[in-house]
Amino acid sequence: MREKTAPGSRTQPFLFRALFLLILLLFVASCQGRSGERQIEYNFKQGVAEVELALLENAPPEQLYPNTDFQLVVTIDNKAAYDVQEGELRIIGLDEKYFDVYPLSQIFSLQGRSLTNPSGEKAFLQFDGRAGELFLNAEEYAGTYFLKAAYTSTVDFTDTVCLNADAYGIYTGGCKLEAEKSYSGQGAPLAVTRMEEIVSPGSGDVEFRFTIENRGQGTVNDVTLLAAQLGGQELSCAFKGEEEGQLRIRLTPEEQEAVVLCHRTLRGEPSYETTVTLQFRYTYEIKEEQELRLVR
Amino acid sequence: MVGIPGGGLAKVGAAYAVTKSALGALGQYFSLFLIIVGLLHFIFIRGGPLHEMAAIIMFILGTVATVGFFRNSDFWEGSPPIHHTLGAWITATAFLFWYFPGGRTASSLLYTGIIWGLLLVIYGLIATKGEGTKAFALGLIPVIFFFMDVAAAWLFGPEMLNWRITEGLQTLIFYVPWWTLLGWILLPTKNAIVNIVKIVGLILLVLVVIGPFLPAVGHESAESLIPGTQGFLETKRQLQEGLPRQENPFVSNFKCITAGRYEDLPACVEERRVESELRAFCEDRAEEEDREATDAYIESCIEEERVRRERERIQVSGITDPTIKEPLEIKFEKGDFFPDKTYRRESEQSRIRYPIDLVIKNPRQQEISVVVGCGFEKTSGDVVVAGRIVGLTEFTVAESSKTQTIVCEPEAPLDGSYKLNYTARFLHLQTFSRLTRAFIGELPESSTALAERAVLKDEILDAHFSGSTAQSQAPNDPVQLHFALGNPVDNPIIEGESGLLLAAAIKNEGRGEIVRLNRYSLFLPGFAVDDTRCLEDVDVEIPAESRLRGDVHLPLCSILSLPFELKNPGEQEYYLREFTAELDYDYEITEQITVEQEVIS
Repeated sequence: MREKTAPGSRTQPFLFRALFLLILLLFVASCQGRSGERQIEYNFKQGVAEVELALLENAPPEQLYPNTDFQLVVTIDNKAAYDVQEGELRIIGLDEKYFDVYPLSQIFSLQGRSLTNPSGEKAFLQFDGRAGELFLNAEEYAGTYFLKAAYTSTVDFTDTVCLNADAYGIYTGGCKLEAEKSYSGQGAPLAVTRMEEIVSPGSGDVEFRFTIENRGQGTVNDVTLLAAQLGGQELSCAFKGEEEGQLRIRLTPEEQEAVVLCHRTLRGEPSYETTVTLQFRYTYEIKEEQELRLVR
Repeated sequence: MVGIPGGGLAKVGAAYAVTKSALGALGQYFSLFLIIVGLLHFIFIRGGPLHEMAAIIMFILGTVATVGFFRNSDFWEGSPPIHHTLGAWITATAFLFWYFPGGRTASSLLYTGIIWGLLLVIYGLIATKGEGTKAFALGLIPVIFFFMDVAAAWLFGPEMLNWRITEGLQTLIFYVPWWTLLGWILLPTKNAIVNIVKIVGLILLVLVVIGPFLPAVGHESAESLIPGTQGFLETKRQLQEGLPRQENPFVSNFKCITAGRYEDLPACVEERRVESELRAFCEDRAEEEDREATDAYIESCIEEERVRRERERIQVSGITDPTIKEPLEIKFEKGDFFPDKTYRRESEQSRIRYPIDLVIKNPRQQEISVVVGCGFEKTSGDVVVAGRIVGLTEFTVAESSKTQTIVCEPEAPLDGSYKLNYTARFLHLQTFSRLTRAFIGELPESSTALAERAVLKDEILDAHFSGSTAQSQAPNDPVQLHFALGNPVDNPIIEGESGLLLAAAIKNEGRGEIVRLNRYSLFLPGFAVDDTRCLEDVDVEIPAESRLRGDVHLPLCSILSLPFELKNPGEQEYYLREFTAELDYDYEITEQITVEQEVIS
């Protein structure tokens, strides 16, 4: 006679197993969840960061001897939060009589810092060189040169703004408009550093003035406004001093700053918060002065 | 005692007032007269054969004008009797006496001075109760102007102040109408402009008249303390000979004004000055070449000389290469055993031998041929005793360092003190130099590109041309060949290819003499020039004045084109290039040592 088991007694081990699995799942999920949360919370698109150039240690050596070969290895490290495209590293200013380097330029592209690549991408570019003869019985020759990296990259700007067509309204029940806001940077050398919001009373016109400036060590040349949206809708923008619709500007070395003026007409909506986003593409140059020393 | 009635007193007073007024007018008249006559003297007589006589007349006129002026000024309190001014005439007469019959000797100065002093005491202090002393001092004013007129050249020349004759001083010496200036200063007027000119004139005087008139007391000799007027004029002529012959600025100004060139008067005067200097130079050259100075010759000569001077104005400078610590060094070194003083018996015919070390530091190990020689020259008199080198007179050095003892023996016995001259001639010495330039391509057109270009230039200057490295660099050899390229030639950044110049100069930096410039080459591969002599030449003529020191300017040329890559650096932004130059020359060094041989019986 088979012993009759109490109802539910067969389900107990199953419940235990299920409970154990659930706890395990929760544990694993919670662990992953906390880790993921940290990464999601970290915003790479803040502050000022750019491509950094350096020479690999001992490449080239501190001192070179006449008629010897050497290698010059340049480390290019993208610390910015954006990808670098069309990059070119060039060696400028060496007198070929003393240091014959080949090639004089190499191209590169590097991914920016992101969740999947929090350190940014790094590349090593190698140049081969040969040291020449010293002049007569000179004891040394110091050849100063520049490592010049030129590349194209982008920068994004996003923030929440309060829109309020009724500038005279004492209480709108919505958000409070901030006339001016400042920013340190968006993870690139080119940064939107200030935003002004100006609402024209009565007309419902709102103007945004974005100040962009180069906060990096290099030089920003061309800047193109790729996109400008307010709450998902296109903004009408132009660079200050340029014609309407002119979305490209070339900055001079002395004036590494520009203002973008954007307009939008509000249609009597009550005040509300929405996001404003801008995306710029820019060309950038960075130069590092270096020295090669030829000794007897 | 004779009394003077009151009416008589009034008459005397009136007469005195009239006399004073008349004298005042006379003073004014003489001031104006002095201005005019002084100008005529300056334009027509000064420097000519009549200068001396005219200077005496001007001196007398100057004295009259000075006395007349000061009688009407606040110089004397109240109204001095006319005889109180006698002191000025005593001073003037004493000066003329000392200058002409006295022969300008120290002794005549002493006698004249004593007499002048006695008169000063007796007449100035006692007879006029001190009132007349001022006039004695007044008499010195025309004396100063007399000196300035006839003796300025002597005053500033090597015998007295020995000032460097700058252009300003030259103008002061030759082109200031001193008597006119005195007349102007003595003009009795309150006109502001006249007074400003007076002040300027006085400042001029203060600047130049500082104590040089003190005679050399104690140097008692029969010779004149100062030269005569002709002597002064001779000094002036000598000075003028050493200076370029130029048109008198007064004449230049006059001609420019009459030509209506008011707006660019200074430029016009300068043009005339240069033109007159070039003309005088070419006239002299025609005379030297014993040919007729035709208009065509003069015009062609002026143009040629103008171009030559323009080119010479481009100064090529260089620096010693700081990375080359060991240059070529050649020198004589006297040893401790050198027989400076020797003795010989009269009967002995033996000749002493004089050794000296020739030290050659030849770090680049050039193959240097050396020819040595020696000779004796008596220190007093012009007796020359030939010297003979004992041993090799010619040898070759290829080592990096060599000391060769050279022994010289007189070919006849010596007697007394001699200058022993050693010479060493170095054949085919070679020196090199280098010059760095950055080529940045054509000038961009857009303003943004221009701004970027400006930044690039700053970067290039900071990175490659700090200090004096924009200049050519050469080892510190006795002779250096420096060169420069660009426009201006000292600008190390070369933009495009138009207007570029290449200049070079050979500089004697040693203590010897450049005997021969065998060959020079400037290596600028791929460059086209308008005169290839600027790149290379052989047997270059050395101007006599440049053999021992100074520069030998090599032909300057224009760059017609650059190598393509230097003209268009493109993405490379700029190219840095170092150019080199080479010079082959003969050089001679001399060492002079005084030796003495005493003959004993």
